[in-house]
Amino acid sequence: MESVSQNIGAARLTGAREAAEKKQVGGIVRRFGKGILRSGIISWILLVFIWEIASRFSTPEFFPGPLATLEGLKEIVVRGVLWEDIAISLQRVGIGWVRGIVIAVPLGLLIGRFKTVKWLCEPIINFFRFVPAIGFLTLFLMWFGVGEESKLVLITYASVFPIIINTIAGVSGIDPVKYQAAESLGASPVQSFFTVTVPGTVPGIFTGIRLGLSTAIISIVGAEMLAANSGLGYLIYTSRLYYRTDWIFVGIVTLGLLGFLADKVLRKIGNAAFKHYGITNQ
Amino acid sequence: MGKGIKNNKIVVRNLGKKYGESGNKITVNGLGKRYEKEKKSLLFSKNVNPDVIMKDREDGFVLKDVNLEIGEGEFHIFLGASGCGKSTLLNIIAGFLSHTEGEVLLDGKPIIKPGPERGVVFQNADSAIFPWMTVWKNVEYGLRMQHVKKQEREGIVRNAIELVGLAGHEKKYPQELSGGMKQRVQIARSIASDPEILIMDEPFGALDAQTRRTLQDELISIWQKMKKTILFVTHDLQEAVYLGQRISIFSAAPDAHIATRVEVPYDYPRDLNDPEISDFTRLVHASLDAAINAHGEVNADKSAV
Repeated sequence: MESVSQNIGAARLTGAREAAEKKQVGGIVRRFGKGILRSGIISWILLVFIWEIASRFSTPEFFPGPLATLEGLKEIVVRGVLWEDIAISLQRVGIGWVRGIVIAVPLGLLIGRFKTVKWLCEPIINFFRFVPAIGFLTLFLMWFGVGEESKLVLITYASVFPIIINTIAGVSGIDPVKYQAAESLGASPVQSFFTVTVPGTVPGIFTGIRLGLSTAIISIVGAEMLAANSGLGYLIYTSRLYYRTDWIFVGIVTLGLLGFLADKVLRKIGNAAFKHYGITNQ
Repeated sequence: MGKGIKNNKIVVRNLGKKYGESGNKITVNGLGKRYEKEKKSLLFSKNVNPDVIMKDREDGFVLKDVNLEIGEGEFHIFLGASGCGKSTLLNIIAGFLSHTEGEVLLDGKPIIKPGPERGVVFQNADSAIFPWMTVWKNVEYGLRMQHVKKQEREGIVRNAIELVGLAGHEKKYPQELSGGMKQRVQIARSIASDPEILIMDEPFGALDAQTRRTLQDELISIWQKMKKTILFVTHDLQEAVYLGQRISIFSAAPDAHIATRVEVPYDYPRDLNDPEISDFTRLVHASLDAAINAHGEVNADKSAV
């Protein structure tokens, strides 16, 4: 009797184990599928696929598909034009954006922390942030010349606002108890600014510089289309003159990819460097 | 930290605090006043204490005619219902809030702003400690702000961390700590500055029963070792009887005052199941009920402390 029931018990156990193993295998497949979906590869494939199908209804001069664009890409890569354009656009964006950070972060911190600064600056900021950078292009060309400087000023202008606004939001997100704690531990107002306000605003600043980068990229294209003889914006704009619609597509895809990659790198750096500051970006 | 011979006495005389002095619904009341005194309200955007947002009450007092004397090294409890103004009084003593009537003195000198001689342990450790600093850096913070030399800081911080039982966790960040450990960080951070008084606002309220009991016991042993005055706010009757030497029982707000003062005549550690102590607890419970219900009565000043 006993041994029979033991056998049944053992059989049940093996049965359960098999089921569990099956489940595990299923789980691995499911997790793999989920992983692929989450990585975004499916969206990319889908996009390229639809793009190719859609292009079949038209001519390459009017609407080139991914294959035609690839051909065009080969051509300008071989000529070395694309690298030059990417390099010059990136340089403009990079310098202008860094200048924007240098101006906007301290300003945002001061506005967020000190009411007097806030009352002084806020109306001005709320006025100018609705004037797009491109609106200033002609003025900047007059004031700073047709060279690089006018474009850099434009990028700086464009990236300053999202950084300031998110920095201010970051400052006001700090728990007031932290200031009380600092004060009761003997921190002077200046000390509490540097030891509570600044580190506590890191997440807000980080969101700001990410958004600032995207507005910088957006406005450099406009500037290069209208007032430059190099850069990705210039490439897109002039390709029209040679009926090289595929080059326009190369320009567009490159812009998107650059922004996508830059943001990804920025996020990775942010997560690694400011792990304990409570950055949440997804 | 200059330490002369002081008797660490807190004297509160005819203390009162009005609701919404300005009568302006948008400005946060009471608090705005304090910053005017210190010329800070114009400068700072964010030092608002959530305790004083009482915009619906434009007149009257949160606290009225509060008289209190706390001696050196005393473990003193403020007991009262939620919202009775005990935390407001605590915040006034800490220097975060100003009062409108009477005076608050520490060693004969009026309290007008926060200072490291009054260490504060806040209710919510997550809002109070700095998540971007390690345990060590958090505890060291006050000393750095007070420009204590690095060699001196080392020993003080190590002692404080050891005292609260966080040795071995110095390099951890607050996110890696449990709620009880975070509260220990707060306590260590305060005592590192060698305060004369430790002000604690329901510090164990958010902890589970087990952790709370452990921390209560540890607090008692820290207090016995350091001989600091402790001001402890709670609405938990058991906690009050378990911890305190004296209990000030608050009447309900508005016009809250200290209705009764009770001495707890038992040695530490206390056993709340001891029949004598549980009888005593019932007595305190009755006083608390009376204080909450019999609102508007004249301050029943039973014991001359």
